[in-house]
Amino acid sequence: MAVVRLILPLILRASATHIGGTATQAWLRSKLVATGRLSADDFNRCFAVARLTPGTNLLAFHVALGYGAGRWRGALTLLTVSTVVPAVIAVALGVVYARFATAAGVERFMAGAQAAAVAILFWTAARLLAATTAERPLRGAVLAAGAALVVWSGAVTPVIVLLASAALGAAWLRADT
Amino acid sequence: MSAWVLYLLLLKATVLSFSGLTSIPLVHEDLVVRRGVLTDEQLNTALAIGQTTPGPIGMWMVLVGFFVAGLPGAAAGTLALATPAILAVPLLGIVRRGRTDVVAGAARGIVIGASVLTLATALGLGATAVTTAPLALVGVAALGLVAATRVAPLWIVLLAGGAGLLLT
Repeated sequence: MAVVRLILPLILRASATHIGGTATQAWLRSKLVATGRLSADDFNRCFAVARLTPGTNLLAFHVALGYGAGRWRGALTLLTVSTVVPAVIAVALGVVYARFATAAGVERFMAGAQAAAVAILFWTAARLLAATTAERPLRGAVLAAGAALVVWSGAVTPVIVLLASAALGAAWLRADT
Repeated sequence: MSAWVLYLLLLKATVLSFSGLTSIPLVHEDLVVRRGVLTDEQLNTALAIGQTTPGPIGMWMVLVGFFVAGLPGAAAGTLALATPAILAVPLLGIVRRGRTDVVAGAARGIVIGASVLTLATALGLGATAVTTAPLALVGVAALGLVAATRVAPLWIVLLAGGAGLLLT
């Protein structure tokens, strides 16, 4: 747990000040690898595992980092810290919003913020799609086009789209295919 | 809706996604379309606040839980967000043994499918959020900023909020 004690303050600081997985991981890399607390290989292994784990990449990254440093106790410690700290901040913001939601100024502020949030969501999805299809351009584009046709036809639920995408990806998008 | 059912629905969404935002289509389908316990506007608000909250981008899910069922809902959202991360431990073992090709291919497929679903959801949410010409202008400006600069989403959302205050 000695290693966890070295990493914990960094995770705590990152969880309270950095927004999003990429920014947080980049900052942690500069603090952990550059200072010799973690090897570049170990960092990359945790990064790869986080990409493969369902759910939020950053939390999986922290679990992998914690497990490497202190087995289950380390994994659960880092997961708890990196989940609870931002969750408390999010709920606090939600409470403030719920209290003042009907005020005219807040309504207008949130209208602008929501327009930006949708734009960011659109851009994030487009960038993620472009980056992932670029790894296997032709097959990735075919899968994306097929998924788009199915989604816009409204014929199946999102779960079916994801399960079919996973099956096709396992068969078509492996490194050796 | 009980916090337990909410947890299971949100867990389903996180388990079937591979990033903080790609679970939005499933949450939209389950809570807005099928059960009607969340509105498009609340989902948009959760996303907007989530973009300004430190930590993982997926924090919007905690706010979805809060809007649906108060503090127990927020706890359900937090647990649903954290639970799948535990899977990183067995995956770490697989990666160490070098058996990642099938999992990596499936993950790529899911990211592609989820991205397409998220684009469709974003278009739907856009129709709810962008209702006037000034808001369309704010949305386009935000898209330009996020695409062409390295300005963090937090500042873009806050700037857009300020623009909304002035323009609408």
